[in-house]
Amino acid sequence: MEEKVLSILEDICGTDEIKNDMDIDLFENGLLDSLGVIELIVDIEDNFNIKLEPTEVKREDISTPRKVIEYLSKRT
Amino acid sequence: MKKVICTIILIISLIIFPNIYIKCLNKYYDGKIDGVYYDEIGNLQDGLKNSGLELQKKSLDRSDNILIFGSSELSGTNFYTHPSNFLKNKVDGFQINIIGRGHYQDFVHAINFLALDDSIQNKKVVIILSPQWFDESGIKPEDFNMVFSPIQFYSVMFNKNIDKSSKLKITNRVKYLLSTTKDYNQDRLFCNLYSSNNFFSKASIDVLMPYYKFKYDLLTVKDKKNTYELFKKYKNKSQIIKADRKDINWNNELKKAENVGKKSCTNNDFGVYDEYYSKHLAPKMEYWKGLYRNGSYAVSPEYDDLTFLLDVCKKLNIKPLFISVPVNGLWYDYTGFPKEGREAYYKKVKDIIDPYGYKIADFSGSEYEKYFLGDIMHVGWKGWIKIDGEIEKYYYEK
Amino acid sequence: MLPFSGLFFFYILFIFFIGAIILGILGKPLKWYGFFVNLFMLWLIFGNSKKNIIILLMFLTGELALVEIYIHIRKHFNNRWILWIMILFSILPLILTKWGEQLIHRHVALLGISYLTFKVVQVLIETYDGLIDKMNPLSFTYFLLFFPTISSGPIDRSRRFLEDISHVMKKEEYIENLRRGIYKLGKGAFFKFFLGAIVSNYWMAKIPTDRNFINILNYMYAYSFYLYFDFAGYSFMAVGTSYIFGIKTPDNFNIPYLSHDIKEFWNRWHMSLSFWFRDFIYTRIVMSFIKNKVFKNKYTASYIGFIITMFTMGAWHGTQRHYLVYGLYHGILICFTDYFERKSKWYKSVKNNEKWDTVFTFVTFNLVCFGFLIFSGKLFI
Repeated sequence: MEEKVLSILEDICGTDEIKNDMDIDLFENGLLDSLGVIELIVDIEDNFNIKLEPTEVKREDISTPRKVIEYLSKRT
Repeated sequence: MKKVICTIILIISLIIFPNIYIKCLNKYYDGKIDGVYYDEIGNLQDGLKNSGLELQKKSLDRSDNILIFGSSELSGTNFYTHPSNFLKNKVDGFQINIIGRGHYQDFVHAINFLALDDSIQNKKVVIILSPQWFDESGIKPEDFNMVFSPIQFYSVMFNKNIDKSSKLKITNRVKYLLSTTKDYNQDRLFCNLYSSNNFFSKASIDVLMPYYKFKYDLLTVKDKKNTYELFKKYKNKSQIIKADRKDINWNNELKKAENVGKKSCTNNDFGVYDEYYSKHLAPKMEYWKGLYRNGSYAVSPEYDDLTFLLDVCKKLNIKPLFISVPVNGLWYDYTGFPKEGREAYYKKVKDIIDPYGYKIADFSGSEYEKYFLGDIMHVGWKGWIKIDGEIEKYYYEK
Repeated sequence: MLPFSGLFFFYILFIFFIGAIILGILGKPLKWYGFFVNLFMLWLIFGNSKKNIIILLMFLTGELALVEIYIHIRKHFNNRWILWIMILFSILPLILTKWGEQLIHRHVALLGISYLTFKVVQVLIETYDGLIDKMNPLSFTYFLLFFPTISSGPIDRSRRFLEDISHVMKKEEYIENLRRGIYKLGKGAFFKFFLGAIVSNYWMAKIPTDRNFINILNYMYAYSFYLYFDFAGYSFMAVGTSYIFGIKTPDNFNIPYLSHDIKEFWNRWHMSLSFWFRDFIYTRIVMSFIKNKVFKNKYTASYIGFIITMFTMGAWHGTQRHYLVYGLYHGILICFTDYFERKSKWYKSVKNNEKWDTVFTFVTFNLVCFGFLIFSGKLFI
């Protein structure tokens, strides 16, 4: 799952910095914006069959790649 | 623990700081206006003077000032015989000071007198009564809103020398008179709490008291600040030199006034000056005719207010001269206002004032004296000459 | 009486702080005390007119019933059209306050109704999402009519708010909270009553009224600063007050005039409003576009989302022309910024350069100020 999440994030953010730094702040560094969050949610729904509602996910829950993975592992 | 102490200090200083600040401001302005006053202010129609305290007190401190309390007729400065024209700047050896405008009626003056307290004690004052105050409703809430003075009100409420029954009388009446406005919610609340007698309202007023005291302090500073600002405008003017008593030939003046009156009223037979007639009366003559055939000034809550004013005068040992002004007989007849409803008023005020032993300059006989009034109800050319004469006589009376 | 205006309000507020602070320091729950204070403050704010009280009660009962009914319905049906009907009902009072004269020949007004409506719609949408499945009427009332935020926000979210009221703070936690609350309250008062008043009295009021370029430019900057100090000041006071009563109402302003671009500006200015629009309008629209593959290009979807969102934001302020233009202006500006930042190689090469950063901040500030000039209506006289 981890691999998949990271490749989704890489796709959305358009950079491979993510694999190198699991604690990079996606919002502060301009890698993820409102559109990116939407893509992330849609992609996660498509790939993991988890239904996520936009306001269910708080930004601080998905602010770094590591947190995204943690959040999803809690949900599956 | 440090944080707790810091927080507590912060909160305490938040409470203390404004109070100290206000005290300092108060001192500052006190220093600025101490011993300063300009007699010319007496000639003015001025809101700060009417609803403040500082300017009135300073005028009362001067032995050659006489304060004239009244209502809308005081705005009639277009008459050359109006005291602020005819007697201005001590031409007759003393300075008049007019206080009031429309809707300054008995109750408003009573609060004002109580607020002046020591300053007005033992003083001679002139009070001009108007028959129109004494209609069936007396002073109306929507009119009182415009003349209510919070600083005078709280000055009375926080004065320990004033007995509780007077204060209750005031709060009960103010409560009603402020009931239609939203501008004075807190002041109405004060009256409500002060005048009700249950545990809740007593506790509430105790809790709120620091707020009201602080508000009063603020109003006081503001009054002093505005007074100072007004004084600045007079700084470069020379003080009025006191003249001696003039030997005025009042009969000649009356004739002169009559002539001026005659020239001013050419388009009507009511003794109303031309612009007033063509603006307010002529367009609706049919409407006015007989309009007040059920009118009467015989019964009015204003009589209670007058009694209250008299009680206040007695308590403060004020020496008032009351001036009883007539209505315009010709016009009142035209509108059908019954004679009995007028006569009852003239008699009733006399009956109420007489037991107090105060002087009345009674002009009720002048209803049909042309040019005594200038319009349908306000004193005009001749009326002012007669009143000016009464004021002079009263001022010089031992 | 308006909240956070006049000495009397603050005096009463300070008196009620005492109880909250004592309870908080003793580590006791603030919920019941909060209910009581809120009720009293509502009476103070709305109580001077019977009409206001009646409208408020009607509004509250209506919206409460709507929420409870929808929560019940949602357990059995999850059709989207039901949600739409519910939302339509929930914004009916707002519509009546805007067009009451035309629709029912009556003028309807309720303090803060546009802010209150946001809260109800949020509850309805999240009920549809399955995030809310029960609602205590008393807590809902407290959330909806929380007095510090009732007239102009910040717009809180129900789940966050309800978590706060059921959470009992330990002494240390409360004291930290209290310290931050007092700081925010003081900061807000300083902003609104000192800086805002200075800008208003000594700058804005001194600008000559004849219309020429210099005067309008001057007004633009004066108004922008006034708006910021006044509104941010109010928001800080509301947030600070909330903290003292144990509610961590979200912040509304974060030095917005130092933003590097327009998108960042909207993450720092009136945050609770822009986040609301982001979460409940932009995200929903764009997500459905992407899921249904309406547009080939995801950016097209996003841009249409921006324009609709910002236009709605403008229209929410009022349907006058200048508000609508204001919304469109910001919508277009965001799209343009996004496009430029993605496509321009030059931008990418200088965006981490400090000097250029200052330039971008300056440009953003001026674009924002021009937006407020539109917003002020001065251009459309």
